[in-house]
Amino acid sequence: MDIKPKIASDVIPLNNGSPNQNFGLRQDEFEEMLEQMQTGQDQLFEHIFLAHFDDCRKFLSSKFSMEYEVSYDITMDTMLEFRLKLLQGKIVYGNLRYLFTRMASNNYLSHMSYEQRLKQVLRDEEIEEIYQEDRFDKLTVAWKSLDESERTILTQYYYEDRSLKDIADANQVNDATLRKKKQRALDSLREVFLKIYKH
Amino acid sequence: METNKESRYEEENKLILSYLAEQDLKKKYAAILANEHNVYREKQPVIEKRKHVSWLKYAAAGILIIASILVSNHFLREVTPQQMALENIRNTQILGDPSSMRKDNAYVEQMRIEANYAFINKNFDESIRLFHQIVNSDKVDNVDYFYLGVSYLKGSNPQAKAAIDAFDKIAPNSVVVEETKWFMALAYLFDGDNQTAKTLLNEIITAKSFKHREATELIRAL
Repeated sequence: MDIKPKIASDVIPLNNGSPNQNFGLRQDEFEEMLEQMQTGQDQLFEHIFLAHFDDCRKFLSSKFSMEYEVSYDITMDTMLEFRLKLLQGKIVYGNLRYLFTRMASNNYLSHMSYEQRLKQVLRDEEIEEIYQEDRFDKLTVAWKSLDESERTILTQYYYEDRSLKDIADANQVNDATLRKKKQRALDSLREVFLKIYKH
Repeated sequence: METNKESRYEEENKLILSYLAEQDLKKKYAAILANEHNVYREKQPVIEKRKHVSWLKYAAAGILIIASILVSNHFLREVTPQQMALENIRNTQILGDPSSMRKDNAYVEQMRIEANYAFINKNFDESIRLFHQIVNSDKVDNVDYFYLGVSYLKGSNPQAKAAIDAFDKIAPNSVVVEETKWFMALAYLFDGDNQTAKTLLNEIITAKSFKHREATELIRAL
């Protein structure tokens, strides 16, 4: 059977974990953070990682001489990716900071290659337009039309890759109810999007 | 064949939902970074430090600053709670965001989008007018009351009582409950009800919720 190794132990040997290497987290705190995240509580994760956000951004900025906004976006993307891998149990305690910066470096390289590809087919001003956030894009409006519990179910199922049973247990409902709710939310999302899109 | 179609449908759903979930998280983190850590996506202007200034000059400047603070504290009128409230209201950055849309009312949603544009562009008279219309429609969202209240406070002529009325209508389990408490405390402070403001600020500090550091500073200053 092909067992995929955990990311941190795959790239670096585990050590006792000095606080600086691990964003100030001890191993027991790290485990506690993971447990909390599994129950949908991100406060500790946010507290730790947002406090280190600007340090990571500065590091990237100096390492790759990138523009301020690019370093912000790359750090943000990396943080989301890191969060997802933590939730999926793909990161173990070891040298979290090194892992984070390595992921950020990879993201930057992907970003560069994406930009290169864009430049082959688009003009600079068109690329700029793509990068500008469209806060009110129709899909976002449709997304906001769902209530919070519907958004949570869809996020946990599709984005966090959690099983329906797992989500049902956490919400203390049975699988069938949750499946129906998920389907209703999806139908509603598509319906509202199409309604606005055709409008 | 049918299975292929279903699996493609699920793959598309996954892509769309992942994008949306990431956008939500990014907005949330950006707001925390801006409010709690002073980290913004747009680079903030930095005053360049002069390199060859000797420590003596720094010391002299420090003494002068301390002396001027002492003198001004002694001779000048202290900052009023109302001024402190106003400063905090202006410094608290709230990102505009279209809130939950009513599935059967595209008209209200259009108005909500316009209200958010007005809010983002700091046209608070307009955002008050639009959010007021929205909250008068039926089945209104908590977040609409929040933006209405904040618009009342951030306008050129802050209306604390109207803001408090709006905040009072927000349910205790709302997603904006922490932000509401902070602005509610500032509204009471601005309105001269220091006691209620202090109670709310202490609750914020105890719960370590949104703006708890600023709340601690305010309590110290009051």
